[in-house]
Amino acid sequence: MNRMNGVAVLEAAEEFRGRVRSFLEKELPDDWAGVGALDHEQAEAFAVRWRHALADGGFLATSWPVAYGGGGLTEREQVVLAEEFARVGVPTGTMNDLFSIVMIGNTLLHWGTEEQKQHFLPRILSGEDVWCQGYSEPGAGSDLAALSTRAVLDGDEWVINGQKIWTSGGHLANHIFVLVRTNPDAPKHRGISMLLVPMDQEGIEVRPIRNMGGESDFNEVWFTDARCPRENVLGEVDNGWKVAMTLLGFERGESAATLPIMFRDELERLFELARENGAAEDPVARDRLADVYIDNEVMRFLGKDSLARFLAGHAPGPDAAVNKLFWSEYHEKVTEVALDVLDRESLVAEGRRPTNTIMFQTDDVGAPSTSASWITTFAVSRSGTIYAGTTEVQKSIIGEKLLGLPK
Amino acid sequence: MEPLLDDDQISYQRSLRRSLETWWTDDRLRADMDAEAPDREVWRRLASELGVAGLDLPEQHGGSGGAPAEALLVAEEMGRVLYGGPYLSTVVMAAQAIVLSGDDAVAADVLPGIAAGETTAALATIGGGRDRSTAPAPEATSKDDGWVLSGEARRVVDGADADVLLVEASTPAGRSLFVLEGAGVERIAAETLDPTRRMATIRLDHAPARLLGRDGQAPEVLGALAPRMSLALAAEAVGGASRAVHDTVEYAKVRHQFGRPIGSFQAVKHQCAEMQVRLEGARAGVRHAGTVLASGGEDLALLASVVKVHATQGYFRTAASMVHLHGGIGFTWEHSAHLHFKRAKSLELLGGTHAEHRAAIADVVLAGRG
Repeated sequence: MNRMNGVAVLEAAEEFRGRVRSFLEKELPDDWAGVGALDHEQAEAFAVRWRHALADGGFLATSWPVAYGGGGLTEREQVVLAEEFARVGVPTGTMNDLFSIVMIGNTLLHWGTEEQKQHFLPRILSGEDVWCQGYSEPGAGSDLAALSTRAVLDGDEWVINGQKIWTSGGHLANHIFVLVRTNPDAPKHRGISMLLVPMDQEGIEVRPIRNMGGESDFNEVWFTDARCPRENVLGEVDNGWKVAMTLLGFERGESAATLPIMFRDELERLFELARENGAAEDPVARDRLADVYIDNEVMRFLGKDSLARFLAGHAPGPDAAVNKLFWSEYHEKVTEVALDVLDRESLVAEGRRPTNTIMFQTDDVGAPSTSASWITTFAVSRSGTIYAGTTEVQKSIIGEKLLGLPK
Repeated sequence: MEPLLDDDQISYQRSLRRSLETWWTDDRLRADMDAEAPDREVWRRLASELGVAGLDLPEQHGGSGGAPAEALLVAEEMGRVLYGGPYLSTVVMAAQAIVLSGDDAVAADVLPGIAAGETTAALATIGGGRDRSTAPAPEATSKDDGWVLSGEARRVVDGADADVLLVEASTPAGRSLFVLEGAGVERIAAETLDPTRRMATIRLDHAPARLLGRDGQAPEVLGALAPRMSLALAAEAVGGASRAVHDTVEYAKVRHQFGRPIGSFQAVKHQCAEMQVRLEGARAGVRHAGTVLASGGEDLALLASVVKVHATQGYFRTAASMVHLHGGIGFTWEHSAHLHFKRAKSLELLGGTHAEHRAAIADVVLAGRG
């Protein structure tokens, strides 16, 4: 057990906070209300400009070492930065940077060869390479290791055939990290490899899927004799399951810090709405709003707890499952309450829809409180208990890994 | 792994746990439930050897002064073994009321004995929720040399056995707190929902009493006391829930049906996971509240309401699952599941109901100050 006290760790790094704040003050206009206050086109233009500002300020790819062009920040500083960014409602990169910088960038740093790092990392920073994630398949959702997209060697190249699905941001990406079966005879977890595949080729087709919120952020990706160089295996051949699992742990500290802030901002919008339309005077509505406030607070407590674990150097564990379970169910509940607070106004979508620069979790800071926005969020919230490990998968993880119950 | 506790707190928590597990075994608990008079011996040891009574009491009155986060650990560890001794009544309620009243004379008389574990005390308050009783609440009238109280106080925790009785009563100035002198008091032990916690009806017939603090001060004192009490109840719920989760999970590992441990069935496993999720949220809330009690920085009353509702509601649901997942054995008097079930419901009702706390929360957050 690490003897470092989590609370003490949380309280440090305040001078770095000052640096982040003056950067934000310098880069953002005085009347900045959060990226959610921009419309879709404005938000896209902002994202491009913002990514440049981050790169110039040394705030892009904060977890990467300076030697590879990253910010070289400590975990504590990364958390401070994420917090401050969330507070004013600016992203830490573009939507695809979750895949490019956080997921595949960090995984490259962990598993990649020196040649792979030298080749791919600068291209991520420059924006030349934009990544998406090829994990789920029509027949492999919760049971990811059942995937059947296969790759065979043909001389110096892998030839890939199969289909990936729910590929968020796939339409904006030009590279995909993809889990493929390289050894059909091995036990299912042992015959998988992680390939780094350029998407600008004949054999890859991206088809958008429209989600129940009406948005088309995710896609199907078809591989028909698609190719990539033999050396584009990350980790070793048939070691892809391990690589895939490493990748899923990289997001934890940041979201433990930022989710409570964004969910609080969203709830404050709901309270404001209730004050505007009179729901705040209704005893039943008041009771339900207090109830979601309690859950919202519990998320803050859980976030503080897992942040302290993270900063005390503990490896990602089943506490991530506890957090995921809690916030995803919370968000479904609060958006159900939101539509009841809106009352019949929620029958018709009026006003601006949410900008949705961060996928699925919650609205951006500054999002509009229109009926169109709440309706979209109400629909989109249902994805939370499905993606990145369903509620049932999380409960089994908690039961087996945390409580030691038998499989 | 307890990331929100420091090393001293973790070692204090260990001592508490070890002592309570040794001193307050299931057998001891059962014996205490059936005994006419409650245990004083274990309480004395907890106070003298572990300092549980004086943790948050001023040093000049025998306390060790200002360790509210540690006091929450005490409540939690007591909840874990379903300890129902004088901690809540004497330390959380009565002693804090005396401290908050600022009455140094009463504090000097009573607190050293409380800190040492020699004196127990109870606090009887007026009202709080619906009640079909028509008995008049305590009223105080001023006599030349002091006050006399008449009326009835109900559901007074440890009211039958406490050495010192504090009573809230109406006076022409509003509501005030009094220390009863002893005469004119009838104590009737009640049969309680939670058989591990004692309560009594206190009947007062011209009972002489001494004013605690100022005439009319009760709302101020009890208002300041309420969040601390809520947090102690929440901490107790966290302790009880952690034991309930532990015992249920262990049972699910060994109880076999259809040739498999029942914990391997998702229907059972997922209920256990839900218990754990509720527990972690509640524990993180109580830990956070401990730091706020110690160093401020947040609206304590709002925070206490949030933590109290979530922790006690979670404990109740967990205890209900505990009964259910143990099957027939969980429905017996002999098994401890029903003690958790009843303790949990009683923690929900003590210190303000969920509905009352949610109304208080709504008052704050919907006013735009949340």
